[in-house]
Amino acid sequence: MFIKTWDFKPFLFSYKFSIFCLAILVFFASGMFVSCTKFADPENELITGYTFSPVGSGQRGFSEEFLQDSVGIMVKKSNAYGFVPNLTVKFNILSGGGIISQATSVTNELGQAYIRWKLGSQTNNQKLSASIYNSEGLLLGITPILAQGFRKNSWDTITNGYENGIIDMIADTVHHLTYMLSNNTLFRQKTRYFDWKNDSTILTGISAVNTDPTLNFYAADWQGDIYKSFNQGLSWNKLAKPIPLYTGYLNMQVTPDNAIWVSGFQNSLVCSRDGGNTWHSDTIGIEKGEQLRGLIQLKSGRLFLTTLNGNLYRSDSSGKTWIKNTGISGVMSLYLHTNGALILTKNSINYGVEVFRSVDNGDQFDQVLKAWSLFSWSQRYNDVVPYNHEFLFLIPGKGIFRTKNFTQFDVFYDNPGIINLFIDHNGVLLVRDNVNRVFYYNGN
Amino acid sequence: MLHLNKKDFMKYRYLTALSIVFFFVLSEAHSQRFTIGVLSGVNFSNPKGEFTTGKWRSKSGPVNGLSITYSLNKFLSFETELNYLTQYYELLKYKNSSLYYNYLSYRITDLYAPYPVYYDDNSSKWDINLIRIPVSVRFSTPTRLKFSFSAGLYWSFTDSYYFSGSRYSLYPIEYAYLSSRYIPYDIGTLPDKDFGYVFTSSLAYPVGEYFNLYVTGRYFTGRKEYFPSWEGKLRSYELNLGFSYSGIFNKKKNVVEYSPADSLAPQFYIRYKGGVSISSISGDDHNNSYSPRSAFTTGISLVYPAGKHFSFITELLYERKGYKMKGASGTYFRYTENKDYLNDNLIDLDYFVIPFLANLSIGNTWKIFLNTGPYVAFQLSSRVTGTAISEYSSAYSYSYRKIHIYDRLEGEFASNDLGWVVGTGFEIPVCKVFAFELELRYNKGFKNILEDSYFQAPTNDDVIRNNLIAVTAGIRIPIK
Repeated sequence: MFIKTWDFKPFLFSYKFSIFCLAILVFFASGMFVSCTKFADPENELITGYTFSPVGSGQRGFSEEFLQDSVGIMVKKSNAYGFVPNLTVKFNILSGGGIISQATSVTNELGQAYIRWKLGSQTNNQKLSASIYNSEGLLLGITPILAQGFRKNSWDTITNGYENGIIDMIADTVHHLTYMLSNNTLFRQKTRYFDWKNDSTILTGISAVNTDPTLNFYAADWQGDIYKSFNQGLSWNKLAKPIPLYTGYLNMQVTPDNAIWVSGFQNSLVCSRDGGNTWHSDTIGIEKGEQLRGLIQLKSGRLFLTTLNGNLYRSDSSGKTWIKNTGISGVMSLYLHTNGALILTKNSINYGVEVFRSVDNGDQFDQVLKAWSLFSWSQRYNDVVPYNHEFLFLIPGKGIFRTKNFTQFDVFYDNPGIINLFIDHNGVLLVRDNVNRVFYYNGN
Repeated sequence: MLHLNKKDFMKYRYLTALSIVFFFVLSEAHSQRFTIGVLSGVNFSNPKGEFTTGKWRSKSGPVNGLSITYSLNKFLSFETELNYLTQYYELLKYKNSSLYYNYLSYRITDLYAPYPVYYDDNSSKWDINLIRIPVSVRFSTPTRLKFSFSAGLYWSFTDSYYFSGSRYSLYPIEYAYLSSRYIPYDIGTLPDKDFGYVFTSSLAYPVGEYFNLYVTGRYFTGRKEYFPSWEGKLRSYELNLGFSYSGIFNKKKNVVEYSPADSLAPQFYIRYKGGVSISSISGDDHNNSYSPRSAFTTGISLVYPAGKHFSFITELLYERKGYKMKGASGTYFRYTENKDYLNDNLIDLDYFVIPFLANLSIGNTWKIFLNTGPYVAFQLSSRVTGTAISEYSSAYSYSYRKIHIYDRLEGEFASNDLGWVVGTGFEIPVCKVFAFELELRYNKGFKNILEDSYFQAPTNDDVIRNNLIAVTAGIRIPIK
């Protein structure tokens, strides 16, 4: 084990030992070099950043008129405090026609640049662009500014507004007001027919609205309660809970004799004939599971009930007992003409949609129209509105027809997607289609 | 915190012990040299995986161990060790140095305060203590100054580990392109064992009858995913110094003498060499986006003269290849049709290159030579560093960013390369024993080193091949 035969001196100075030491040095030097090579740590450094906010975008106005508020751009820094002044902004109309007060503006000390915009009449949805440039003329971004122009005698489309969930409307031509029920909220129409005020501070979660002949308003909410307003919606009083312990959607109808008819999900028809104080279950003759779709009362007092199952019932006992019309099924709607005729629309396997008319208080219905429809429709909808001394008649899956006596029909709006038809107190039409678009038509 | 699976460790420990007994028996039967040794050194971590963003810092840690070598003959031997080492891994993600504002507020009179400066919790660290058992076969030169090269396998067991940093990765790398998919994955939990390959080169010198001093450079690459979020595996380089004793079971004394250089022609030469290189790439259509870069090469050659003017040479070289990229592209390292970034980047491709060359020379004292032959290269690491400008504009924002890039590119480039070497130079004898050599060499890669990726498109560059011109100087030393 001990190194006896060694003479260290020649060993240490031998060339091979030197080579060995050199090898060690080379190895370590290489390793240190490779491992110590310096690279910068990775970093994502924001040098300059801005955010652009359109101001005044989304306004509504009449075509050929200036928008109420100015439109423009606000530019802020995204990597520091504050706004960005002295940027050039060029405005350009992209669609809709119209004119602007100035094509170029410069952002002020608050980073804002504003112009006035007079809407055009080419389209309803109108677009303006704001191109922002820095001091070297480099384009930083192009921000769209949108507006909706409402025209006469044109269908104006709304895809993202309060009205896109509209399911019901009260149009009071006596008091010159209109309420819209959309997305469980009551909206009151403002001065301009396309402006709406959210009345949710008064009532919320509304599922149905109706009026009686004296223009008192009724509303049902998703808690299963009914409210009544004696002052056209300015205030509401809780009337009743017609179906005890029930929460959910209520179908509601008020007949000319001021009887209130209500049905709920999986609950049959109940009726109050004393203004909501007491409720009776008048369902003799009505099959189990039927829900109210519509209720018509003739001058003779005869009642016609249409249900969501597509059935038609008749009552000559003020609604206490009912007889089912077994010859008719797939009923979509029933309308009472001012001349006393009953207009019934039904789904038809053979023809798509069929329209029937009865002039003998519903004893017999005669076919007046058949038409292929794009789809069959079984939900509640509003089908007839008076319009310019005639009637507009909606057939879901087909379109809107114009008719005087429901014997001759002309196409008024060929849009098979329409599923609901309303008219406000000004005579402006609102229709909704099966993809929740709403169309305004101002023919005044 | 012990993560050792005792059952597995016991199984492998028995295997090692069995191997040792086997060696003893064989050594008795054949009276061959049986050597034990101790070693100590340092390891440098360099994980391998599909890293695409962030910087894995190479950190050093200690290595200690015992070795047992059984020499089958004067060329081949069989070696195993028991090591204890600590490896340190650190991932530094991109730091986002921006103020984040509540810019959704449009009111003019808002006197809002910004959110504080937002920095990612951008560092994750793993300190891993390992017990390792390498087993390898070694080839050595039958000379006093012994040059060796070995290759083998290893098993390692996690003794304990410590993790610090953001523990959960949002989603594994394979879902990275699905921005709506967030799957939390715990990156702080590691497996308890690994298996991999080891490659070693060493130089040993006798310092006594039975004692040897040696230095080794080693490369360990594991097979188990320790960092699944990046498909990352353990990998390290080691530099060790060791001391061995071969007196066990040896009946013959090994008298170690100092002797001057022999006048007879030596059987082997080793050559230390190093130099500068210019590396470039060739391949696709957009070569004007790429430009050559300067780098270096260093290594050791083993020369076997097979005649007066003919030799065989094999080498183990560390070469840095790569290229520069300047211009607009959708990535940091190759041309794509998208122009998301304006790059000024350097791509480093580090290889271990092993050429197998035939050497022809003319002349007696001063020689002019020609080398040619194939090479195989194994990628050690690949990265892109530099800066990129990203300008983004939309309807509602504008940003101008400077990105300080450090991205690992192992997933983007192939792990090996093949090619051909042609070189020429001259050799001048020095001090009768040594020789100084200067060589001009050209390497041409045949293989497309770009891995398949979902960035492939007709207008993207999908083929890249390595080229290298190097000028090296070396000193040739006879060994016997």
